[in-house]
Amino acid sequence: MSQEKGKEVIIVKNLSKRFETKTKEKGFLGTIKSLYAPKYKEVVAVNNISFSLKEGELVGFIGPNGAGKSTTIKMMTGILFPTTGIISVLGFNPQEERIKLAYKIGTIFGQKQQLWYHLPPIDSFELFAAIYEIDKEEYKKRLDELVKLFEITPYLNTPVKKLSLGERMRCEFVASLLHKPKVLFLDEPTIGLDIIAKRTLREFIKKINEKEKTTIVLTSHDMEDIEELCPRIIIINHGKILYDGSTEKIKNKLNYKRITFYFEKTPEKLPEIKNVKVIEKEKFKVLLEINKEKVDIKEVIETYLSKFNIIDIDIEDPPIEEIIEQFYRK
Amino acid sequence: MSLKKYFSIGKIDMLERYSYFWENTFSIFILVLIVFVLAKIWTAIFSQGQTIDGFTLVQIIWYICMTELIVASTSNEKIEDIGNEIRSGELSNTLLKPLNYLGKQFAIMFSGFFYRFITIGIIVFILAYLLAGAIPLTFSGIILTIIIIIFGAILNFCIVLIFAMLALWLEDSSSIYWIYQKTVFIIGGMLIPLDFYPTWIKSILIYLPTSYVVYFPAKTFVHFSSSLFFTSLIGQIIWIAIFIVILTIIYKIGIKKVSIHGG
Amino acid sequence: MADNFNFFKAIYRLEFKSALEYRWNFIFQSFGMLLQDAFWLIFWGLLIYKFQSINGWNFKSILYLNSIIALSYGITATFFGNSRRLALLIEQGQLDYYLTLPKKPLFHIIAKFRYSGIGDILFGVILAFFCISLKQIPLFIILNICSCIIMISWSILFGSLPLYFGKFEKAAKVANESLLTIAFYPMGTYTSFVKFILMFVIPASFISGIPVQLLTNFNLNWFLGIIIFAIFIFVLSIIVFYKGLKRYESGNSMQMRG
Repeated sequence: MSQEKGKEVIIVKNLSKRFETKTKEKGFLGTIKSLYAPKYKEVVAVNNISFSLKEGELVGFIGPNGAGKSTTIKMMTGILFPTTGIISVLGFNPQEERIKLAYKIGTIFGQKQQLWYHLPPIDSFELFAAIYEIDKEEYKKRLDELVKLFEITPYLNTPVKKLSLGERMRCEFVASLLHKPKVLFLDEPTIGLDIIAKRTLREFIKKINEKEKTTIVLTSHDMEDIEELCPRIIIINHGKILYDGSTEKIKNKLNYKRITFYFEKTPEKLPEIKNVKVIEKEKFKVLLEINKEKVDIKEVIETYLSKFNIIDIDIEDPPIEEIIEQFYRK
Repeated sequence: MSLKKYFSIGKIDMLERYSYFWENTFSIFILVLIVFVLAKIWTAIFSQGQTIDGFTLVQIIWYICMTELIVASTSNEKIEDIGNEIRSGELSNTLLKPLNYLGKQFAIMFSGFFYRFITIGIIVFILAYLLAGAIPLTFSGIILTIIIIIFGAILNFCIVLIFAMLALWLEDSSSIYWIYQKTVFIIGGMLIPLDFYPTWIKSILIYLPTSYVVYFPAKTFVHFSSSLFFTSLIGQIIWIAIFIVILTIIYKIGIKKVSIHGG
Repeated sequence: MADNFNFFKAIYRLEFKSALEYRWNFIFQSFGMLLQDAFWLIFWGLLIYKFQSINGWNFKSILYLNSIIALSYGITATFFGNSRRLALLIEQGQLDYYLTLPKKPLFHIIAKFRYSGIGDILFGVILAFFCISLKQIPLFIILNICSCIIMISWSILFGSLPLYFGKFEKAAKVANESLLTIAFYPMGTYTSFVKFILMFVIPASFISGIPVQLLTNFNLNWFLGIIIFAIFIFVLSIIVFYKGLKRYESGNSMQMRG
């Protein structure tokens, strides 16, 4: 996955963001005190970070909650102003030229939706055409193109409230792409989707990125999203960039999966399997961490199933904090 | 045992209220202004020092202050929260707790009522005294009036809960509640005592529950008599009983609805 | 400019369509409001009937009052329905969404079609039919416009305060409603101190007493005064909002969570 030599569309240099928050002591007295003599604490949300993205890059931003991810993205979209440092997105200073920039970027927040709930998506699309001042002919052509690409023809006239989450997300994508944005900010776009819908959505993201060279900034807590889509990863924690580079390089760190087995009867002794670590053991359950690359998940599950009476199984990614910790340990 | 639980919930809610400093200040400012404006209007009407329908100017001003106080203390903003809770199915969460959901709501509303009644009451009483001078009160009269006021508050809570429960069937019960609140100004006797209406209107309105929340408590305060006391109390008890029955029925239907739809 | 017009059209079209989805609620609420307005009118009618006139206010003045308040409130609530929810929206973090779009956020936020105000509009118009003479129509229209502007600006003023202070939504709500509540009782005779409060602290007089006065007895000075005030408060509210927005975007308001 070589990066084409393209121009830089996002440049971030020595970016910092500091907040002043009020600190308040507990209880009534604390509340009263804070009204008369407020104490402030400075929080550094983003601490002198620098990076740049080229046209057509698909970059994953990962970091635990509160790491400074969303703060950085808000600064890139012009919602928040930096304390110090320079940001340039598509040649615009987001702070001063927010509206001009807004015409050229798109955003998707997995947890908030832009489409009007009670109406069919086509109505929302028309509203967006008016918001972004898209020419009528252009709009028709573009809509056609996107509807075909995202395969939403059958849902165009169904009220959004009647669509499944996966169908809705595809429509959200169409809405965000109507105005041909050059940069797309995706915040948890696959959250809540089932595995098939996730895979489908990832395909669409890839297609758009390839077809239109849209620069995409993706944040996700789903490691598979990142693995599948982003050749480049930026890890942020405590406001600093811990890693900015190829996903391949840290892929083996991302290759851990956690399995929780729920037993009918607490086992006395757990089987010892190589590359499988027991993280937690409680009365009726055990949490294992296994290295996907070195061990086949299926085998681990089969071993446990054959030895014990398993009532339930949970499989998930290790939390980001762990990944980052492990990464740091290197 | 369970009463203690309710009290601690009420206490937490009261503590929360300390953070609504500005909200309370504004409300009080507006209240004072409205009472002031109303007092001016009544002063103009009573300019000849007459008695109208059994009320003197002093009595009418105290009456207005009492009704404003009652309405301000019982106005409940939580109806949206309750409505949302119910609609989002959170109801099913509380059903699993040993707390009776309705009981919990009562505890919260009552704490709000007490807090507001006392804080606003002090100001209103000072205001009334400044505007109209003293009004003859007897100690027993005050105690018994307080009872009527409390029962009026309980009655009001029942009405509020019914509106909140309507959230299960309507998309938005808060606007209907808002309309109801504004209507209470007129039919509940907040702006003018029901005695001032034409007799045939008065005779209908005094049987409505709204008059037992506002009119009767305020009237008992300015025109205390034991017969009035008993009429008010009996009327309140009857209406409270009726509403409790209605509430239980709606609650049972509501639970069925919530559990069928999976909450 | 034409694009902005398209934008307005597009928003309202969607709003209206969305509201129609709830046909029953639409009818029910409009009707409810109409009924309530009628109640008020009957109430005041009864009072006037009983007391002949209160401080020079007779039935006609009551009609003027109710018609202006109902109509201007109705228009504000129907076409700018979110102006009263501004504080809530800000505290819920919805401002960000509007900031990612290529439009100035203020209009976009407050422009929301809420059918609940239609009952009031109807009521206001019906009343006007009874009390406004043909000659008075232009004046009536201008007074309504001023009144709408004042109401919306008032809502924006208080709705913007969460950008400066923390949890302000409930206080903003109280302040919002207070304007209308007080506007309903303009009939006292007041000392100049109270008159001042009712004009410049809570501009209730500008949407009730003064318009009624102008309809009864036109006076050029007061007429110009109302227009100037409307413009003044409008500009003020916009400044307060956008200044607050700057604070928000610098992360200095309580609303920004890093």
